[in-house]
Amino acid sequence: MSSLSGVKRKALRKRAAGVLVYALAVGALLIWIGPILWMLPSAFKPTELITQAELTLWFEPTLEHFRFIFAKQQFLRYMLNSCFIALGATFVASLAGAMAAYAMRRFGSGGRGLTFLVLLVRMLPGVVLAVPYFIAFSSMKLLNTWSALGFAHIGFTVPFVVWLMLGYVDEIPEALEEAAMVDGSSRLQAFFRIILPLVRPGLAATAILTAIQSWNEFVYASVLTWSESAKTLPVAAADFVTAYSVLWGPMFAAGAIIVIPVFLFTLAVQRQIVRGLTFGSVK
Amino acid sequence: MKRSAIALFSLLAAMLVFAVVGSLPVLAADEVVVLVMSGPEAETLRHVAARYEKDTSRSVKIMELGRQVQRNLLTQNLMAKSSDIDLGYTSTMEVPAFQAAGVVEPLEAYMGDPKMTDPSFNQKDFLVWYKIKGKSYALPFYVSTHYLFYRKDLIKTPAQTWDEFFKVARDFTRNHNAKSPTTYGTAFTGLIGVEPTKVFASLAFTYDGDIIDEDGTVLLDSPNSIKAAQLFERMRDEKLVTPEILSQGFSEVQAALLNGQAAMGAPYWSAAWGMLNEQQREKIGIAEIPGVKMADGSIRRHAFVQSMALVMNAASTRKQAAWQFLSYLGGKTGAEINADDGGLPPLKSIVLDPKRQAKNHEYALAAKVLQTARTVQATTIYTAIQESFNSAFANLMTGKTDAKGALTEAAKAVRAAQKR
Repeated sequence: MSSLSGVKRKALRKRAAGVLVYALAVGALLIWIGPILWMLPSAFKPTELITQAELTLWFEPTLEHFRFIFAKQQFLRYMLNSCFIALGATFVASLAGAMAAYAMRRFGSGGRGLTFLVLLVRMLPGVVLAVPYFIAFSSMKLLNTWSALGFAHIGFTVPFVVWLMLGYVDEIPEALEEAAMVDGSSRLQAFFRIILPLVRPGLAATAILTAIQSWNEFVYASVLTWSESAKTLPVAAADFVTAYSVLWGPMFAAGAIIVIPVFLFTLAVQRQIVRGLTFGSVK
Repeated sequence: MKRSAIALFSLLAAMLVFAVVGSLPVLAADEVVVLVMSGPEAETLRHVAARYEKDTSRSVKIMELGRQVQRNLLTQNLMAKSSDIDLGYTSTMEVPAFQAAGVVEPLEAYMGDPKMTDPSFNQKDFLVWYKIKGKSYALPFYVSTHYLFYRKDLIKTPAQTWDEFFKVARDFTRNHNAKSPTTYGTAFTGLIGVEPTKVFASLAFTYDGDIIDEDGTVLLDSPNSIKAAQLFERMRDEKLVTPEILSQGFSEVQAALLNGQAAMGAPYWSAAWGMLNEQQREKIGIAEIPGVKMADGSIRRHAFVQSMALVMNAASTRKQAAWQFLSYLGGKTGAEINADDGGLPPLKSIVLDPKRQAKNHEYALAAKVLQTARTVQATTIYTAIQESFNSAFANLMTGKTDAKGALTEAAKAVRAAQKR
């Protein structure tokens, strides 16, 4: 009898723990998703409803804020700038980072010091490098160009790619490349024909995360690109914090424009991300 | 081999695209670049620039950025002696620090040259002008001062003195009068940052107090300044002011006035008037900020005044072209465009123009207010003053200390900053 109640108590405790875990998960999810849930409908709310003290859940949606940001501000241009910089930086960083990781693992390039350095660069707060970048690109007359921000983004995404790719390269047995080289492949051919196809899921996941980082990046963008020809979406969104007020409607609309493509993109490639991030975890 | 060659080629091609296409020059060689904070002044500068380009066939590029990004970038560009910008938007309160660092260009040499100056530019026509050690480092183009904003649909006559102000504020605070249509009597911009010092300046000047004098003597803890700060203390103790005062900025005060949270806004920025539409102006009135009744029956008031100004980058490579645009902005056409946009240009010929006054009754009020308005003494430690006062103000409004204690601490911190 007592053992039965013990089993019951145990099951009850397990259940309570499960409920607690779920509650915590839901709480964490709400904290994360709350601002987004607030932002998206607000982008379609008339201005007077956004700023009023009471929360309005039912309203007639309006596109006035989107019209404002596309007609009065040059958001199409800013989107193009963001796309070009994110894609360019991702392509260069992914390829360069994968090659660097390969060299570090196979030839021990740079030794342990380089591996630590890569990690160190990741640990540095971005703002530390913002001013040196500003001075360097200013003296090269490259401020307000795609290339300035692109190179800065490559600078902080390459260590990220290297760090992730090191793990993926580790998973590939060296014997495979050696076999290819015995068959007459050069080292470069072995890298492109053997290593890259094998680490493709990991590289894809890394590239996706790199693109998202570059798309959302604000600190370097605000320091290096502030003209219409190179300004990116996050900096353009901050323009709505004006001298006297915050233009909440356009700000929410800009936020939606920034978040929705990333959201859709992530939804479309989530399988690759999961596959890439779990790549090699089960042998 | 083919694959690897293609991949390598792609990598090089991508880098080349970044390096070449992404680095194409974005500006014409003689294009003047103006770094502006987004808001009504930026809108005006765009309009002036468009007209200037049409009139003179010279190019001006207005680069508009959000509040904090613009401030950071202006400082960064100036301090790094970058020539990427020619003119920068700032408040006249910030200019002394730039002048001390030697990163802004004095304007006298350009002003004296008729070949470079717009024919309608006349320095004597300016209602306000700022000099540091006898030299001009900024061209004011948009005046910003404090008024009393009040719900004219509820309050027939605006308060003239602070005592009257308190009486009205109490009548319109629900805690004191259950029938009050508004929740609180008053609101003002107490947002920690740049606001509290300026609001306090309007009160301190009126009580014959000050923050710092021209010799650098700190007057924050003088008896008159403390008397002025006691107004904040009274508002706090009697709960006349909106409770979220420390996070209440420009737009929040405007919202409080419009949505019935507050019956008055004082001291509150003149720029707010230009942002109200006709319908809102039927509900909201403006008047001089309240003052102190003197023995002869007159009322002493000195509202704080600053100007939004453009400074010229000392490292600019297009200084002449930059001045040509500046003088156009400060001349007749620039000021008229500014006034038509609802702004308050600092020119007597505009503000005192009866036709303009009839069209915009703010101008008559502005002319009156600016006669006695004052500004905080130019100092390179203005940022330290702001920080010290912010802390004092926060302690005062949250009830941690009284007016005397708060200002004594603030004055101590400012004196320490002076020594550093």
